[in-house]
Amino acid sequence: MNKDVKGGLAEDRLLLRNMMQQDEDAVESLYKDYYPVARHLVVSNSGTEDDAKDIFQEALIVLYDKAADPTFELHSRLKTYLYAVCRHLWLKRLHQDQRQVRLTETMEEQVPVEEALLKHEEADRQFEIMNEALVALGEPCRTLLEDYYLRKSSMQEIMERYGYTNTDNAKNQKYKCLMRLKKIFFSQYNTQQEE
Amino acid sequence: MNDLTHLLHKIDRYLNGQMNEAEERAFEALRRDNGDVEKEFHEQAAFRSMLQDHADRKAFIQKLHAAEEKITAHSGMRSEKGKNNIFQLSRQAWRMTGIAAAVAVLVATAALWITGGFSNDSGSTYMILRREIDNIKKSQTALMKDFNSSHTRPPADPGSFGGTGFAISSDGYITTNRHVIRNADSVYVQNNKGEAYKANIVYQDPVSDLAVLKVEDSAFMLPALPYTLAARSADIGEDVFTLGFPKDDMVYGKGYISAETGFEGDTCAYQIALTVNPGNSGGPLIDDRGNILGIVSGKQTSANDIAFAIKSHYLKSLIDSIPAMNRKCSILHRSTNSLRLSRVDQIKKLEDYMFLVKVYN
Repeated sequence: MNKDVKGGLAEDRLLLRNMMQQDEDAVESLYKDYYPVARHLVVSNSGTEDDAKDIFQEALIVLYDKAADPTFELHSRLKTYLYAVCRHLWLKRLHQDQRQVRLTETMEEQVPVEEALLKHEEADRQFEIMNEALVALGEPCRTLLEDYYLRKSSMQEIMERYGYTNTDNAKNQKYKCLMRLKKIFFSQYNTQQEE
Repeated sequence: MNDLTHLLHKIDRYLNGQMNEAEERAFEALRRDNGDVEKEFHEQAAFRSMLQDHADRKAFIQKLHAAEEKITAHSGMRSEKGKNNIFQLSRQAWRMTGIAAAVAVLVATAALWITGGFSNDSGSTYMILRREIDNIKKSQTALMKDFNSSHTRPPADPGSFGGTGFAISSDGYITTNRHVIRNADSVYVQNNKGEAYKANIVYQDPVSDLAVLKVEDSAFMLPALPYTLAARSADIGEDVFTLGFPKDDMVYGKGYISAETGFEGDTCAYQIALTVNPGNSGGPLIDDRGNILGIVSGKQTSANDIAFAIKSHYLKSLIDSIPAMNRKCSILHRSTNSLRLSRVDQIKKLEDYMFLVKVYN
């Protein structure tokens, strides 16, 4: 075991890894451990409980987007990291609402999170466009693609489920659906990028 | 079907790991020779991962909603006093998570005592199940001296520690516990027929207490793995069994999942009611249908039939984190296995994939 890694940081890395594996216990323990800190930050700086929930949830998504990068390694404690992200997000929100507030801070130590927030914005954009594209794609295309690519159904199963007469027809249909989805997705994705 | 449809389906099958080796090679040659195919391949791979990322992120956000509802619904959350309570509780839970990291090493036991007080424990400790071969061997040689001449199993030296490992790919990747191979100078794996192979440690993770070995002999090849790695969590009461090497011959053990958490509430492990002995460490925990639910890793000293197994998704994430290994470990890519058989037949099939891990140091 690496000697310069403090026990606490190793624990945080394990927790983060479990979170990335979508482990429910990990997500719950993040809420249990750190939501009160985020809540305190938001509520004592003219926010509501619901604002706090929004901010904390977004902070965890920021962390998720950042840690999705395989080269990312956590170098600060999760508490410090999440606090820094929440702080940024809440300041941004206050700024958007044109509210001038001096934050009452509870934590001294700060870590840079600007890069993570940029990455998060890009991930968010892609996520929303894919969401819209999947809705626009409609049924049965959407479910067919999800069955094949996400739930790993075989062509045989898809043929039976959607009533195609042979697997070649099913493959053709899968192909058409995929091409349509790509077209819808990239038409949005590329134009927005050029703006 | 037109050519592009056909090509696209080929790419999908390749990326799903559904091609046999000859097909794979032919397809890889096609990609090398044809720039358009290669380009199409990369586009398709990229779009597939976009779809997957989208689904994963969506699932993650749903998990956040669920956790938020569960945690903040707690009535005490609104009062200052309640908030403090939760904080304290969670700190405790936090330490529990820490145990996951610590069980890997024997030192954990000491750490538990030092941080004490957070468990009203009854004097029981976690015991790893690696076997000190020297000790056993000494007593055995006393009994078996006369048979020494017929002892043909290589290598002659029995090794200083032993555990169990099982294949996670056909071409020689084998997983075991990290504590089994800790401080090893050299490692051999030996199948139930007594054939031993030299293996290299390719990965070891002290946090999850898992390690991956690779048989050095490049000609080493097993038939397709009969089992799969369970994607689901096991349920309490579920029947399970393990195969391991508490002695030089493979030993079968049967039991059930007795709790969803391991030693002192460790969420990375299951508690199992199963008789295990030193040498069982690193063996697979298998359900009735032949899915691997976990990796047997330790037991509680104070009681019989309280053993622990690391949950299988830690093995999956370990394999996923090593791209070079990820594709080779076909165990992950399969959704069905060939083990819907009677237990006796299951074991006959499994036998060839189980290894005695011998460690020399």
